Amino acid sequence: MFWWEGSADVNIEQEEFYKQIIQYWQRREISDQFDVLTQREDNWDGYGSEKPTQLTLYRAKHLIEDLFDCIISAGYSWLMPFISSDEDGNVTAEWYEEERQLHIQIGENEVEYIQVWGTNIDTEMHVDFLNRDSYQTLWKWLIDG
Amino acid sequence: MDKNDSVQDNEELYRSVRGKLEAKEYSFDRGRLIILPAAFRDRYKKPSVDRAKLREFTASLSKLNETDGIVSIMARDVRSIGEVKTKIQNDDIVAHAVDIIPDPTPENPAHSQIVVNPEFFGSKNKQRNAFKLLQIALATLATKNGWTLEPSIQ
Repeated sequence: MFWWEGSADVNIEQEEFYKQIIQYWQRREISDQFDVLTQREDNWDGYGSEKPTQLTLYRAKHLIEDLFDCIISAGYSWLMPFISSDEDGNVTAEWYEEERQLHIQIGENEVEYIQVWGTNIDTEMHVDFLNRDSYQTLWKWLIDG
Repeated sequence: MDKNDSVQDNEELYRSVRGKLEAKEYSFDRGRLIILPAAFRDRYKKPSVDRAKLREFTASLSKLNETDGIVSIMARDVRSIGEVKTKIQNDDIVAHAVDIIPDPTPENPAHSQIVVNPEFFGSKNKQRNAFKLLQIALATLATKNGWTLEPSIQ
């Protein structure tokens, strides 16, 4: 919830204006995080990790932007993920909300998500392939539990 | 004490976390410290930790770089992570138990590794996905405990 929501001093037009400004900056931040990834070379972390390929970066940016649009158009607030890449050059996006975590791994050929609500792999984590139909369900789980 | 003795459940383990924020091994979310799974990255999928008691509980001795921070996790909690699973043919599943084994070196008698038994196998993707769950669990444990020693720069 944003500071102006429910305030008698802010009318609907102003509220919409503020939301659009915030969404503009959120899109910029997503783009900035991807700009960092495009600069990576092999062994960028000193652990021998591969840099993400152009195809992976393209797919990942498209997916995160699509997720953003889907979440916003459904009326939810956006939470900024930590975007990075892993040892094999997959792009990773991670969200942390109270005890809940959502991790998305985007490779050239597949996209998976991991829901986390504790430290036990057997009983407090769930892994599956990500498809567009599950965006809102996962987001609702992330923000509301 | 024999440095090759097994790691006891009540032992504290140190992990060095890179201090520079651009390494993306930790971050802050609305002021809350989050140790990211990348902090437990390891090319052999056996993240190194130091046994605190063999470092005489001096966390700074476990820093890999001057600017690094140190997080601590308990051996008992690592072993309670559960079993990492790998699917094999016919949807059969192999469960890998998580453990900590001593791996002392001449330079670092406290050196140990977090391992799974049996070792990860199968395709690169399968191994990575199984290891990712272990990384997430370890990072979540570390986040709960916070810094034992804060990084000296951010």
